[in-house]
Amino acid sequence: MSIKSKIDCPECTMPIYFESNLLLAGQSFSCSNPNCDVSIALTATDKEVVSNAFNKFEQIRESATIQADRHDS
Amino acid sequence: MNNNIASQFSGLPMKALIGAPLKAATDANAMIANAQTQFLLTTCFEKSPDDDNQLIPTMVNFTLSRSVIDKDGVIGTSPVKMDISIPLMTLIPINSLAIEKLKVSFNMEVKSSREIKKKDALEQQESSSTSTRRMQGRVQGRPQGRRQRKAQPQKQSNAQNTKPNQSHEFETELHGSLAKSHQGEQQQASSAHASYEVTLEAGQLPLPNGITTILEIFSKNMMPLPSKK
Repeated sequence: MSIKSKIDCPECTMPIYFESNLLLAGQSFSCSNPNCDVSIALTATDKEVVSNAFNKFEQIRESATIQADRHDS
Repeated sequence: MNNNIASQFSGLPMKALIGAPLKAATDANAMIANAQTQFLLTTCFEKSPDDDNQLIPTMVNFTLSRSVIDKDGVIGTSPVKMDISIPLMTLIPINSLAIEKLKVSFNMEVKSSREIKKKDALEQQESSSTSTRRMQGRVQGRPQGRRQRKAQPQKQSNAQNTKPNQSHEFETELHGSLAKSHQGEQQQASSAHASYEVTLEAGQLPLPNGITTILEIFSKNMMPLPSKK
């Protein structure tokens, strides 16, 4: 399950949107500001740390979804 | 009729119907917030090597590439790569961990209808041929015949009969029939309808100020550094 998120561009503070699976795959993401040509990519050394964090976050999100489904039903 | 229909809703446990799902959602949100806090403390922060009671944010390294303008004022063909250390916390979309919308909706419909049909045929005939009615009256003036006059000494107690020549009693007989006929149809139809709909929507809570402040500090202090060669 991919998680969509964003971080602020270090140059122009505009959002840089990314998806977790693509980020962990090593893909770079560009700033949403068309006048800013900054792009970022996760270094391979910290890939495991970020992957672990996203997995834990996904578990919490699934738990929240189950709770929401209980209320819907 | 409408008041009766409305009164049928008065027994509804509105508090339980509305409050219970809302409370359950609040409890769920609290549980999620607790799990989220534990996640932030254990995953996005690590204990300081100098002090176990102090937490420092877990940092992850990114490679930032950007174009630069050389000394001649021309944009360089190859982008410059820099290292940037970003707090792991800023990568996680924390604000999505909440029940965004709670909608409690129920419809109750009470219908009441009443229809009365009444058809009756009543025919009553009463005949009387031998009934005797005694009529008593007073006749002012002189009596016209002796045979029509009957003395009533026992009614002396009546004040009006104190004068025999002014009080007379007639005996009559009525012969005839009394007929009563009724035939009709009565129809009454009434209907009432009431519907209640309750909708609750609970929105997403904003991030706590503490987390927002931390995220702002992290975002404002992200500074790219030249890559080490």
